[in-house]
Amino acid sequence: MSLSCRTQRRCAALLWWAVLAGPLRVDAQGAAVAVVAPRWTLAEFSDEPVPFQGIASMDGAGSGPGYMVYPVFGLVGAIAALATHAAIVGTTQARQKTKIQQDADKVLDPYRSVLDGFRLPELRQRALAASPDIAIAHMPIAGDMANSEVLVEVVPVFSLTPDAKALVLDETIVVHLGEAAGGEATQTVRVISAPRPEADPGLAWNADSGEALKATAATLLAESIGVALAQAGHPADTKLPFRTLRYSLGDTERMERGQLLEETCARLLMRTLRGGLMYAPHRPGATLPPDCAPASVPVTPQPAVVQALNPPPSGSPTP
Amino acid sequence: MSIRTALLSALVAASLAACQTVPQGHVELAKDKLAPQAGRVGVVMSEPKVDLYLPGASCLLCYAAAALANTSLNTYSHTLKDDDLVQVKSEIVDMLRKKGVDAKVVDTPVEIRSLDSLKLGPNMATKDFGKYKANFDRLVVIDLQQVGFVRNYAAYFPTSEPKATVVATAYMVDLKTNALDWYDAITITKSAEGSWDEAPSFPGLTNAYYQTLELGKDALKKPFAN
Repeated sequence: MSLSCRTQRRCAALLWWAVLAGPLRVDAQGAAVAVVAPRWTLAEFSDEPVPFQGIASMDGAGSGPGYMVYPVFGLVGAIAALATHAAIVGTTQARQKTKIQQDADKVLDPYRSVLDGFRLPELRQRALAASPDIAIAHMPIAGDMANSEVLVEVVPVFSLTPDAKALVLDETIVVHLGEAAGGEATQTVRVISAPRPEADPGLAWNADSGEALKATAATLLAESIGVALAQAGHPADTKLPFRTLRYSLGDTERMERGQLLEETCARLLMRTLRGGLMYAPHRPGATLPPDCAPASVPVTPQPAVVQALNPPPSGSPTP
Repeated sequence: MSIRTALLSALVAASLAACQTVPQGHVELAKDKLAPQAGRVGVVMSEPKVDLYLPGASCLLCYAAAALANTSLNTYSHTLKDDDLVQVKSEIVDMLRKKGVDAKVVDTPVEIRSLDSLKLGPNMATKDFGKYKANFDRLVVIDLQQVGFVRNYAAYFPTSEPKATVVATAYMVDLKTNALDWYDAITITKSAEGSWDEAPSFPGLTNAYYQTLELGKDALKKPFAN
């Protein structure tokens, strides 16, 4: 079996597919050829706090149209005036963006004590416990990787919505192939938790030393890998129409232009215009697939796509 | 105060007063305008092309520099469609019909600027929609003024990153009296999430663009949902 990939994007898609689906690899000539399914490993995390931030809206960043009268004292003076104006405008915008992000980060203040003690290795252990067996195997360090193995590195960044109702994971998943196959592939995934139903989510997140916060973060990380795995065998389909899809971000309704890849009772899975995957809860009142409960009922995050990879034993009820 | 100063002050005051126009304020849409007694209602829309706007780059050389700096985004903006937003007129008609109103879409886009101007005072139409009188008693006008992207400038330099934008005024005109039964001004801007400068397809800005279309649609439909 051999597939050609003439463009960089197609090569990346094929490589990603080969890595995640297992039966293919990409050779030096850019052709995908059959190989034995590689063993999965998850790279260790450094012993650092799990990165959290607020969600900043830059819609109001910048300033309105303005006017400028340049004092002209010869050519040198004019150039100096222009350079000064450019420097002032650039600095002002950079400062404003920093201030907006700092203000957004204040949503984390009630959780600082929990977050300071929540470190990446703990997140990894919790995510491993929440992951399906087929996806994760322990990998000590990259240098020990056998040629046939695949090292999966994840770079997670969590955000808390401005209303503190939901957690968002933005993750870059980098897959390093063993020396035999060569190359690496990158996929970005965003997973959004269902909004918490409590009127005061702060109490719920902080309860029991932040157990809910930590557990939700780990579930999102496990889901993100599950989503990436489930979509691995389905490279981007350019024929699938792009639509403006609505979803919940905390208690607010948001929109994203993308391709609807999958829809469960709880979530939408879409491919964004940047090619990333987004796994987001339905908005309240959304039209759901048949046999689903109304979307206005808060839904606990369910790794539905992951479950699809692990069908229950015959005879057990379908979730 | 010398006579010369007094005359100069009077001249300045008179010229400033002549420039002053009172902006039309919001007019709430009354419930009885959403009922069968509203009569025949047409919904018409202006449909400008999707474009890039560069306010603040006001001198000729400034505009040339700004246009040059944003060539790829300007070219890209012309490839985008605004069908999602244009279909709002059909959706408003559907909403009116559900309330028993005899409503109909006016398929041909209206060129608001080409219509004769009226100066009838506050809460009155400023354009003459008389040509629609034969078919309708009231006209819902959606005047899209900007659809696309906006980047503010101060002379030669941008004071903001490009953002997706929808700017519109929407109103209902009683065609018998020219009174405004409803008036709303809508300005929506959305920035790209993360980097905006991703030529040639600008995915971040494109996403923001479609978000503004949806938000614009929501804002335009909201009064008719009550």
